[in-house]
Amino acid sequence: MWAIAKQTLKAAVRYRLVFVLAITLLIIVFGLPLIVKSDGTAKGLVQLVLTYTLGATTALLGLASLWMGCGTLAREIEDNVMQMVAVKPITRWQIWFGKWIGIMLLNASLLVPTGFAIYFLIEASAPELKEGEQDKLRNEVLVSRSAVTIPEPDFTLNRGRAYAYSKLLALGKTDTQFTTEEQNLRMSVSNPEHILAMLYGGDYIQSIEKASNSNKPEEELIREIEELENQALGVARRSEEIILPGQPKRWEFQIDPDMVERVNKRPIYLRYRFSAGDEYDPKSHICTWRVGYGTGKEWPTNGEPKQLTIGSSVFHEMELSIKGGVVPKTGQVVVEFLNLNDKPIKFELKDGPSILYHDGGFGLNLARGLMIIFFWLGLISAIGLMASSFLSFPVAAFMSIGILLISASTGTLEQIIEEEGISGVNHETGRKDRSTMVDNLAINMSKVILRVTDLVWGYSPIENLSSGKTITWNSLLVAFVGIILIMAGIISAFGAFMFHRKELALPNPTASMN
Amino acid sequence: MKLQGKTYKAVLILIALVCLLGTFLNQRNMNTFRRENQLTHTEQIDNMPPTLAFTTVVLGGFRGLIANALWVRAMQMQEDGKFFEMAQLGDWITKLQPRADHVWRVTAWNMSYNISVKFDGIETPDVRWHWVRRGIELIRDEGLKHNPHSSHLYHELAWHFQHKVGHNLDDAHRFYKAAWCAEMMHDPGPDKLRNTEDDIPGGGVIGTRRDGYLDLISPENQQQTNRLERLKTEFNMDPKIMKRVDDLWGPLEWRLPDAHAIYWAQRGIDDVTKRFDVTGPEGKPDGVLNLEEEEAAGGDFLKLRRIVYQSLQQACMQGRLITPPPAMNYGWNVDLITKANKSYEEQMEAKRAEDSASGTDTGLAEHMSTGHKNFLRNAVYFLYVYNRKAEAAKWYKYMIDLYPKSIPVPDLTLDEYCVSRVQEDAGETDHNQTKAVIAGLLMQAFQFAAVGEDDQFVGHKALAIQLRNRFQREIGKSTKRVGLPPFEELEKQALDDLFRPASPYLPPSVLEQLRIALELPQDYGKDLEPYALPSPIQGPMEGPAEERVQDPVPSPSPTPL
Repeated sequence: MWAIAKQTLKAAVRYRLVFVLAITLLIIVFGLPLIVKSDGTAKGLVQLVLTYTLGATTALLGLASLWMGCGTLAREIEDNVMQMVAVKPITRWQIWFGKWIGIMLLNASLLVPTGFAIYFLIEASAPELKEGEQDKLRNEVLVSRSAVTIPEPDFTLNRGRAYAYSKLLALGKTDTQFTTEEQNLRMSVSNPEHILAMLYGGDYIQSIEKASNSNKPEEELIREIEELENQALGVARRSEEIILPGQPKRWEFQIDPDMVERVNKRPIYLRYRFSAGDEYDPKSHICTWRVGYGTGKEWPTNGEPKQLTIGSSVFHEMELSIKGGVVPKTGQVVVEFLNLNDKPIKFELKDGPSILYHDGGFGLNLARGLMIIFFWLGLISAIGLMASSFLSFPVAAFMSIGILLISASTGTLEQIIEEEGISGVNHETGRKDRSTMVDNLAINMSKVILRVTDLVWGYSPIENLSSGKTITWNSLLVAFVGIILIMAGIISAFGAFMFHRKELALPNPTASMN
Repeated sequence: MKLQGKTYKAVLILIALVCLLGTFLNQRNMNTFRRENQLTHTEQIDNMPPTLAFTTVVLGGFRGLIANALWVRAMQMQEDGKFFEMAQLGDWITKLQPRADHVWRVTAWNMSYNISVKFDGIETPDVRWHWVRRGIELIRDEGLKHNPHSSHLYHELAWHFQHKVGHNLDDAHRFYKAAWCAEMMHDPGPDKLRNTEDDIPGGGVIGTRRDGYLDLISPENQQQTNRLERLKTEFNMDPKIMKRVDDLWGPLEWRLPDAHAIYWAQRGIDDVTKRFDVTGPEGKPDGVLNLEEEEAAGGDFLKLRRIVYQSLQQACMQGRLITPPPAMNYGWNVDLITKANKSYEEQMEAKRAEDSASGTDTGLAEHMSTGHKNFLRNAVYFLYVYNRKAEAAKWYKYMIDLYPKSIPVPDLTLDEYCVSRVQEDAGETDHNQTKAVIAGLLMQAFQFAAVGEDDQFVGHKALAIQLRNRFQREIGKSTKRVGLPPFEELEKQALDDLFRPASPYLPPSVLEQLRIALELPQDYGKDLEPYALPSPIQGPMEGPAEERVQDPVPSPSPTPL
C-alpha cells in the first residue's frame, strides 16, 4: 500500500503537477495581499487575506485532488497499466487506499508549507503596524477566541400539555387554588404553550376536542390546530427577539468560574447584530449598552451606559476592557441594552449577542483550521477515486463534480424545506395550500441530503480564522469522524468494492495509444 | 528544405514577433477607424491599467462567468452583512465588467450607504466620511472614466452629493459638509495628509471665495496652475464647466456639496443633450432637446433634470457658507430664490402636462405645490431677516397671489407675517415663551454680528423688536402684569448671557470677535455672575432651519487623501 502511495506521489512529481501547484500557491499566498483592497485597517486587510488565501488554496487543492482522484485510477485502467499492478501480491482495496494515501500525501506536502507561509507572512507584517493597530489585530484576528452564547429558549410545544394547560387556565382559578398536580403542570409548560393558552386557549380547546371526537379529523381542522400552535410559537419567538422603542433587554452570560482569572487577563468582546427592517438601506440607530451593573466590575467605568449610533444588519464587536477584567468571580456577565429609537429593534436568536474571550493563539487555531481543510480534501479525493473505480476518466470527472455541486446547493435544499415542497407557496398567506406527494418526497430527500452535507460542510474554518474564533478540538474530532471516518469511509468502501469487482482484463478500445 | 528542431522554433518565434509588431504599429489606425465608423458604442480607453487590460482581454468568455460568481457571492455577503468583503468583491467585479455601469453604482452605494453606517456617526464620523468619500471617488474617478456616457453614473454621483453629503439624514452629515468644505478650501500639501504642517490654508481648488474656481480658468501664477492641476486630476472637474453651471444655476457656493451635485447632474445633461440633440429650429443641433428628443433620451434626461432642481432647492435653503470649518455655519442662499422658484414651477408644469397627456390626476402637481408654498414662506422670511426687505416684499406679494391661504390671516403685512412666523411656537401672548424667542433672536443676531454678517444682525434684531412691540400691543392693558421689559434691557440680558464667565453659547474666539464688532470693553462680562444652570428661557425656535454657530466640528486626524 505504501509503495502504491509513493508511486502515486512520484507520478504527480513527474507530471510536474506538484511544481505547478506549488508555484500557484506561492502566487496566491504572496500575491493576494498585494491586490486585496480592504477598509484600510490592518484588521480588515488580514481578515480578507486569510479568507481569500485559504479559500483559494482550498479550491485549488480540491480541484487538483478531484482531478488526480479521477485520473490516476481511471487512466491506469484505460492504459492497461493497472493490470500489471493488480497481478502483484496486493489486494484491490490496498491499491485503492494506496492511491488515496498518495493523493493525501501530496495535499499534505502542499498544505503544510502554505499554512506556514500564511502564518509567517501575517506574523512578520504585524510588528510594522502602529501600536493601536497591532493590539487590535492581536486581540481580534490573530487570536483564538471562544464564544459564550445564551442558550436558545425552549420553543417546544407539546400538544397534550398545551391542551391540558389551556383547560386549566380556562377554569379561572387563583394562585392559591391550584392542586399540587396543577402547580406542577404550570411550572412545566414552555413559553409557547403558555402563550397559546393565554391568547388562543378557547379556540385551541375547541379545535382539539373536535378533532378528538371524530375518528378521522378533517385536514382543515388539523391545519387550524397547527395554525394556532404556529402563531403561539411566532409570538414566543418574537417576544424574545424584538425590543420595542424605549424598552430594555438583559442577557446573562455564564463563563466557567475556573476560567475567570485567565479570561480577565485580556479584553473580552461583545459581538452582536441587530436588524431594524432596513436591510437594503441601513440607517443609524441609537442604543445604549452597559455591562456588569451592580457587580463591582462595571463597564463603562464611569457608571453611565455607553451610547452608540450604529448601523443595523452588520456584526459589531465591542471591546469590554477594564482594569482587572470585566468578568466577576462567579463568571456571570450581565449585559444590558436599551433601545432609544422610535422603531423596534430585533436581535435574532441565531445571531444573538455573544461574549468572545481569548482562548489560545492564532498558530494552533490555524493548524486546526488547516486540518479541517485537509479532511475535506480527503473526502474530495475519495469521491474522485470512487468514481474512477468503475467509470472512465471523463465520466468519473463529470460525476464527481456533480456530487460536489449538489452538496454545495444547500441553499436550494433549505428553501425546499422552508417552503414545504417544490410546488410553490401561496403568496398571500405565505404558506403552502396543499402538499403533494412530490413535495413530501422532495422535503424528505432534501432533509436527508442536508443532514449528510451538514456532516461534511457544516464547519467554517475559514470564517472562524478570519474572525478570530476558536476551532475547538471537539469540533475537529467531530469533523474527523464525520468527514473522514463516516463519509469518506463509506465512499472509500464503495469505491474499493467497485474496484474489486471491476474486470481489468477486458480489451479497452478507448485506451490511449501512448 | 524542411526546417526542424530549434531552427523551426526560432522561425516561428520570429514570425510571431513580426505579427505582434505589425499589430502594435497598426493599433492606432484600427482604433481611429473604429471610432470614426462608430463600430462600438464606447470609446477605446487609452492607458488602461494592466489589471484591467488583463481581465477584460485575456479572460475572454470566462469573464462573464467569473463576474456572475462574484456577484452571487457579493449578494450573499450583503445578506450576511459582511460589507467589507463586498467592497473587495465589488472592486474585482468592476475590473471584470468595467463597462457595466450598474456595477460601479452598486459598489459605490455599498461603500457610501452600507459600510459607512456601520461606524458610529457621533464618535467616529471621520471613519464614516472615509467610506462616503470612497464611494464618490469610485464613480467620479473610475466609473465615469470607463463609462463616460452613462447618465446613470452622473445621476448616482449627483445623488451622493445631494443626498448623502448634502442632506441631513445622516448623523454625521455636518462632519461630511465640514470635511468637504475643508477639501475645497485648503491644500493638504505634498504629504497629502490633512492637518499636518505642510497644509496650505486657503490654497485649495476653490479657496476662500465661493467662486474661487474663476481664478483657475486662466491661471496667472504657479499657485493657480497647481490648483488647476489638482482640480482636474483629483476632482475631475473643469473650471469652464463650473462657470457655465454657475451661470445657469448660480450663484452657487462651491465649497458646499449641493453645488457639486448640480455640477455632475449638469455634466450628465450635457452628455445626453450631445447624444440626442439631432436638430433645432434651423435644422442644426442647437444644444437644447426638444420634446421628441427628450422622449428619445428616455427617463435619463428627466432624472438628471430632477436632481438639478432638487439640489438647487436644497442649495437655496442651505447653500451659503457663513463660517467655514471648524466653526462650520451655513444657511439660506437667498440669491438662489429666483432660480429655485423657477425650478418648482417648471416641475409642477411638467407634472400637469404629464397628467393632462395621460388623462389622469396623479396629484403629484398638487403635492409639489405644497412644497413650493412652504419654500416661498421660508424664502420671504429669510429675505426679511437678511434685511432684503424689498425683495421680501416682492416675493411676499407673489406668494399671496399664488397661494392666498399661505398666510394665517388675510391682509397681513410683511412685518406681521414675519413676526407671526417666529411666534408660531411662542404662543400668542405667553410671556415666557415670547421672552425666550426674543432672547433667541437676539442671540442669533449677536452671532451674526460676530462673524461680520451685518445684514443678518440687523434683520434679526429688527425682528426681535417687532416681536416685542407686537406682544406689548396684544396684551393691551396687562403690560404691568405680563409686559416685557424694555427692548434695551432684553438686549443687554442676551449680551450678558453670552459674555458671562463659563457661558456655553459661543466659543471664546467668536466671543472676542463679537466684543470687537460691538466695541465693548476688554473686560466686559467678567464681573457678571458665572453661568451655572441652563437658562430656562433659552428655548430654541422652531421654524426655518437656520444653522447656528455650534461647537467646532472636530478636526479629522491626519488622513490620506
